[in-house]
Amino acid sequence: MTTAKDLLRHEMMPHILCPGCGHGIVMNAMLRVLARRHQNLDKVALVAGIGCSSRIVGYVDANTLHTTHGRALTFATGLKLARPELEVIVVTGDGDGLGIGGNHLIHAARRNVDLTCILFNNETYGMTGGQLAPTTVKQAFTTTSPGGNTEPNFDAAVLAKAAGASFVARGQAYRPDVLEEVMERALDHRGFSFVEVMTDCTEYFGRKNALGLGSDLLFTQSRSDQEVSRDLADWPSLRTPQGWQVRETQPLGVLHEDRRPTFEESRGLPGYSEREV
Amino acid sequence: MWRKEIRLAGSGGQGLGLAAMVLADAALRAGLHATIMQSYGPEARGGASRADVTLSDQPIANPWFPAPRILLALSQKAWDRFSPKLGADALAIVDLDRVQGAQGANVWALPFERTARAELREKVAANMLALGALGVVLEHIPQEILAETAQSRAPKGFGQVNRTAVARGWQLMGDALGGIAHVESVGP
Amino acid sequence: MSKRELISGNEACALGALASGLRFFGGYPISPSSEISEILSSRLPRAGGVFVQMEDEMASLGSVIGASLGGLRAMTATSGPGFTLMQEHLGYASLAEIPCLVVDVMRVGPSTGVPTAPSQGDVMQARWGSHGDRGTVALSPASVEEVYNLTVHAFNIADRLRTPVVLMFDEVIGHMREGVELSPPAPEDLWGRPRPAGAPGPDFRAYAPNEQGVAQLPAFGDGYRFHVTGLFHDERGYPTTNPDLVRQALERLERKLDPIPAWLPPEKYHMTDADFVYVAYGAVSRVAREAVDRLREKGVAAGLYRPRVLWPVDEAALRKDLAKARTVVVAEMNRGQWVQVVSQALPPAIRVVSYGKTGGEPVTTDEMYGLAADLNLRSVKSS
Repeated sequence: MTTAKDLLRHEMMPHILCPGCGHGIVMNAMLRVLARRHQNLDKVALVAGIGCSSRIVGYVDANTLHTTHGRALTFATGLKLARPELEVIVVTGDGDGLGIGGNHLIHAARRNVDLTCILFNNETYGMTGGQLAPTTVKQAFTTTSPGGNTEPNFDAAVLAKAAGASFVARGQAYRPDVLEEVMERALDHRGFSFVEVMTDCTEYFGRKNALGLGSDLLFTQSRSDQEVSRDLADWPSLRTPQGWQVRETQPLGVLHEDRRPTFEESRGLPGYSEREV
Repeated sequence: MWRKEIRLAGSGGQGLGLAAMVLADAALRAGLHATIMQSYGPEARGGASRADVTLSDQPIANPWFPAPRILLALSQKAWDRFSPKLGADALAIVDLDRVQGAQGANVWALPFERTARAELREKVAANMLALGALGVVLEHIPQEILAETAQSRAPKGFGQVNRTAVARGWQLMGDALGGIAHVESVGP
Repeated sequence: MSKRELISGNEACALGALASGLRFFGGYPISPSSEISEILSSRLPRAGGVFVQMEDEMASLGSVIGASLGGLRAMTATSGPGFTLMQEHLGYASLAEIPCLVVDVMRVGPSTGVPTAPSQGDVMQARWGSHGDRGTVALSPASVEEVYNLTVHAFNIADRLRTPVVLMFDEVIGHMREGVELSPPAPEDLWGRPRPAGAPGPDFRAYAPNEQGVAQLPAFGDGYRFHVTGLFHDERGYPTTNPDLVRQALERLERKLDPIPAWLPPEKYHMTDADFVYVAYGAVSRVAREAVDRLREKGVAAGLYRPRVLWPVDEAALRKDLAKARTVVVAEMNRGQWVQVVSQALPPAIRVVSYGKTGGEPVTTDEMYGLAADLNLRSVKSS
């Protein structure tokens, strides 16, 4: 029986993720799902952009493609249409997928190519040093919002659904069990599947906002089983050790699913059935 | 070596792109060399559109010319826009009913659209009538080849109309020239 | 009866790509290249390929690289502003060694410029447009027929050397129709990609170069699991910051392109005894050839040197080919780009003159001929 560990490139270790980063949990959940689905990852391609989350594809013993900042979905589109038998998973971050790559995300959702996109949302640009992201909540401090963020943030799941994603879900590092279930369903779905995963950046976002260590941050997500808590609505109280209590809540789990023709089906191209073979 | 620079101009929808294709293709079939440069962008869709055809007995190095030696203008706009650039020795053929104020020793105004409507029941065949007229002054392409090309390149159902239109246009120009060119240029 | 057909450069490009076995096109509309997309949108699916209109030019080339990694011959087509947007992915394809073809139908820039007027202003962008040093490949056809043939060659070079190739021509060549008789390549004229060395497994090295210095990547999904990245990488494809490996890779990526100029030598017209030489490519070379004929009639030993490969440059060959010239006029539809290559290659004894025409009007034969007079060539002036 294949385990998550079997799917790692051990020669790539140590990894670059910081102590306390939530990404490892999310990656582990993804590997566990893949281990259940495949003996090896010959027919799986992981495509990533640039950023902390995007680096993890290199650690997986699959067909792995580490592309340019924001453009992973475009490479994945070409690859998937060239090799429909592959299970193509796009790993991206919030800066990568919603900032520089936002246009590609909405068009990938609209086009409905049979891809699965997992967006690691840590509300900041981690790799470059904790700058303001399109997902950074109002009032939060980052290295480029020294007085607190004044811009509204994107709701990635709502955006993806509005753009036409035929499967939309949200998970969190705090609940890897829910995450696994969500990822499994996303991979099963025919068409463009979008999974937003809340995973915190300890080193920058946590530190800048005095939110504590990795485990403290993880617990800020623990609002309820049904919801992911996220929004720093009332800034001053966040500076207290109980700051996470003021995070607003957002729904968790599968938020939207419909079955509409994929790009491949509409064009009469080989598609979903190929990757079942 | 000879070189003829011809501008086919009118408004978008008058079929000047097709006329240019027929003319250049007929030239190829006649063993000549031909190039086309067509206007792109908004002007090709309703403004003063144009297609520039260059014909020669030798390979054509440059398909581009700043001002034509022969102008076919099927709309007022096209005439107003391109006629000021015509040189003293240039020749122009215009649609009699569409273009006002086109005068000069080398300007021929002929009723292309009127004839197309009255005799062929197809207003859109005016382009092929004009092409027939042009064929007379070009001298190097036999009428039969031009008519044959017009027929083979016609949209579905327009083959015979276009063939007839070329012949009729040839005749109109021949008559205008006093029948001389008409007689000389018509080959078997 | 001649079988010549009236075909435009853009059309010939699409037909050449199909004849080369194109199987994926991702593109974004832009004048004056859009006809290539339009034709392939109907013809490519019928040939068993995939056509996708992407959301922008970065997406276009991204999708092309993805499809190429899946093992397909893949291309995109664009013009100036789109070519600028593609620069990052051109750099990516160079470093990650993914074969692909980018067609750039050049229009007047910078910025939106004159969208439908011809130019040759992207020559230096093709060389240095992407950040970082890298070897680049750019081919420049001068006729509709040559667009067809060089499209085939471009795919061959891209595959054999695993590199992006830029096929660049001005709007005149792209939009002009002329009578041509195209001859499709024979199967043996189509080159393939280097085959992977070694079997799948932990010891597999996707980026181990062959004797020509070319990485030997399999396609994704062929049973090899390997890593592709835009980071400098070792032979396994794993990221490295080792300065020696970085330097070696950079040098290898440039050196592997060395054979290209010999594969597609320049056209030399009346060059054996020419002491007055036009250097021109694309549409400009066509009028330069006519000017040479006229000058020859006047007794001037004029010649035309027409590079078909703009990048990489074989400087030694260029120097040798132009050694007998006394005056070299480099005529381009820009403010003097490839002339820099020529001036750098030639000794100071040879007079190098830049004739750069901008504004969106092509160079005419009269203009080219007149240049010779302006340059005080005795026999011309006296005529």
